[in-house]
Amino acid sequence: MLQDMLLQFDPARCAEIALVVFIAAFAMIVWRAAGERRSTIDEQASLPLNDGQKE
Amino acid sequence: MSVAVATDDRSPLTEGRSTSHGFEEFRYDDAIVRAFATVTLVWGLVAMLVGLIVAHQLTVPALNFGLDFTAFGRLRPLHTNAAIFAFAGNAVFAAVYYSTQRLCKARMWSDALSWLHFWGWQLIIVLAAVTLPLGITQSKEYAELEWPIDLLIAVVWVGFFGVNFFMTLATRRERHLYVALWFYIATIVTVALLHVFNNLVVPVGLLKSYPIYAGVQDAFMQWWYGHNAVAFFLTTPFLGLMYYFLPKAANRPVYSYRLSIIHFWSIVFIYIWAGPHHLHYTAIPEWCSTLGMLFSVMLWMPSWGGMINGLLTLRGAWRSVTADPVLKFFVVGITFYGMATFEGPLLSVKSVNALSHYTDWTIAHVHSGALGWNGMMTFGMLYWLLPRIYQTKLWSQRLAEWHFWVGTIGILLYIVPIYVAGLTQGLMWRAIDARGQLMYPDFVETVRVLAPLYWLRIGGGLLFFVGTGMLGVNFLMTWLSRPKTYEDPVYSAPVLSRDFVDPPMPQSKLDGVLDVAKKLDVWETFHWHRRWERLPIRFTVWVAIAVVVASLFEMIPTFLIRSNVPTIASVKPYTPLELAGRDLYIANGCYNCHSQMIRPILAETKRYGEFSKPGEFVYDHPFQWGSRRIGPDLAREGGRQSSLWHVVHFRNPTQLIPGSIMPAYPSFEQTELNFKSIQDRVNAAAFLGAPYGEELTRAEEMAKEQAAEIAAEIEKQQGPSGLGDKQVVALVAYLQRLGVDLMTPATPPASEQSAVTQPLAMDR
Repeated sequence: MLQDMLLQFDPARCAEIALVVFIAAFAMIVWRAAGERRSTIDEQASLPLNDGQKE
Repeated sequence: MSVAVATDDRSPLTEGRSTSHGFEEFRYDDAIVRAFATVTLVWGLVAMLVGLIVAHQLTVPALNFGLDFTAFGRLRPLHTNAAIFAFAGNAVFAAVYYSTQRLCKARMWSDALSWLHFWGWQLIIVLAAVTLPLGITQSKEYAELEWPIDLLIAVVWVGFFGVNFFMTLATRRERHLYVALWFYIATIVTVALLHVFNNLVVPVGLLKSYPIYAGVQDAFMQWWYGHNAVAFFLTTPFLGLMYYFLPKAANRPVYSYRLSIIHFWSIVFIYIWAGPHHLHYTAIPEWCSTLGMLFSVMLWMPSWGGMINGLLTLRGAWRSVTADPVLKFFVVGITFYGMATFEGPLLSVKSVNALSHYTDWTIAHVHSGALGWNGMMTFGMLYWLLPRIYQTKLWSQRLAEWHFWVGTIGILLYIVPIYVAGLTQGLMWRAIDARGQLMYPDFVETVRVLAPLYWLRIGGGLLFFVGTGMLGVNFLMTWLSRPKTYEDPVYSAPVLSRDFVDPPMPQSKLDGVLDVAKKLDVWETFHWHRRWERLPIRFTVWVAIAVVVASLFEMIPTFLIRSNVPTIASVKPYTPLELAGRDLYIANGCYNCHSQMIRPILAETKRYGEFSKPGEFVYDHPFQWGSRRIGPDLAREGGRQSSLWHVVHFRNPTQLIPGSIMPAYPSFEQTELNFKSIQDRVNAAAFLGAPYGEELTRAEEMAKEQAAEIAAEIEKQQGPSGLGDKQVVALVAYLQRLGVDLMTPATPPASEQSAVTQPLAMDR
């Protein structure tokens, strides 16, 4: 059965499926990044500037 | 210098000691950063020096001084490995060890693992520096090292570096994982995957192995690795470096943290698909090649997003750039990142690639990235780090400025002539006159014309090397002015609560809709992603899934569907002597200058013969398609020249081809062939699927018989006598076999006749 499935499968479809997967993922990422609160983003962005409190 | 630093006693006595109000005290381990910074400089100078030597050898081939160990084919992998894994690798480790501690508000989890990582990595570099000139190589670009060293790399990378890094994340005191750490996570996970799967081999002995993949599949696997080595060893960790050190140096947060999130996930999703663009017009399936091109073009988007994010971080601070060499290095580095990542997708477009592939254009592109992006970012980081890790002022700001200008001019002087060389060569190869014939049928014509450009490249490389020498002086003098004992300040940060409660799940504001719609509305708030960003293991798993899914999309069809590699009945395994010759071809790095892949392009078939078919490579462990034509393609070399011609050509190439830049290999006629090892080689090839019969029991005798026949033939052609036990006969046997199977009449069993591709007549 697996052999039949593979014989029927057109590998060129991989390219199309891959593109759809990527676009969906990309849309999610943009949505996630855009939806973050400004204050949270600013706080996260400033992390490199704070090495911790020196005693 | 590094030893002194390494033994500096800075035990983390206060690590994790609790103070009042839920704070903990800790110290950062800067000794490990000092050590990695030092070896970055040292190996950088070595990598550039070897680069200068091989660049000289392309203008004066005799500069190998008649030694096989110092010939271009053996030194070029040493140069690339030193530049990537020793120079850039150690720079990455310096960046990771410095920034991870600060971003996690924690010392590295284990000092012992840090130092095991350091010394383990240096041992790997030394082993590479010894084995590559000795011709101990797998011949896969940037993955040349043989299997015992590969095992060591896996242990050091995963067991020492990976465990230490992830345990530091697990014991951190900062809840949010800053985006630089995401890039480091992607680097560690993906490099481990790439390394393991590209280096699956069957050992023939301690110093020799054959990959389990053959031909098309091996090429596919190698360039999945090769491309992503660039992505996940030379790009993602340097982006992590950029996202940490640029805000530090500019003393301002990154321009858009949102953009950095998009940048990260897009890079991780897209890069892994792009490998097949290294194999356009070769014998890989068309759909796979197109997919590689498509995703490569899409890389423009995140790459430029990252570049813009980096440059805009300096908005309003451009005045500082004029005064601070650190920022100057970063600005040029990020600009080169933008240029190289513009050019990469351009080169992946098939019609452009048809011109650029196998030419110096690729070399210019690579050096634009390596010197411009990796080099300048590394230098910027080192200049920023030096005063901090040595707790003194940088010895000379002016010398750093000089380094910047000398280095920048050096890069330009390197890449511009090599771009010209690449275009010149590509256009000459494809030039066809009014009669439909090649305008430059003699390959060496297309080499001679490049000589002035190669000299200019040496000038550029020399300037870059001198610039790095200036850094060396500054580094040394800064180190000399360090305090007698380093201050080891104690920091404190609040402990992360183990029973941290996530913020309540947001409620849907939708009303009057189905529950599914409400759930979707809540899901779209991405509260779950914010949770991942606090959970390193879960985050890492998702990064791994993103990388693996993309890889499997291309690999499963390529590996499972037989129609991708149609068999050819007349293609037979190599004879024992040919196999030994092939291994000598590999050991001497011939693939560095000669391809074995004729693309279905008119000018190529006119120059070299019938284009290559996937089925021709089914016994090629490893594949030898190459990536550069400093010399002509050899895919159909068999039968082109007499055996004596090859003997004389090895002895002194310019005697037969005036202007040739191939090094002379007189030793092939003098060095005895190791017949005893041939049986093991045949057995390993048989284990991998080569249908041997008699060869399985008497490979050595068969090799001697064929060697005697070739030696007699050479003598008959008025050549030297007594070559029957010398390496040269094995090499001649291999070269005379290349590409001839396709023309050999095949007599497959009747049952298989309809299933195989019949041999094609070659238009020579």
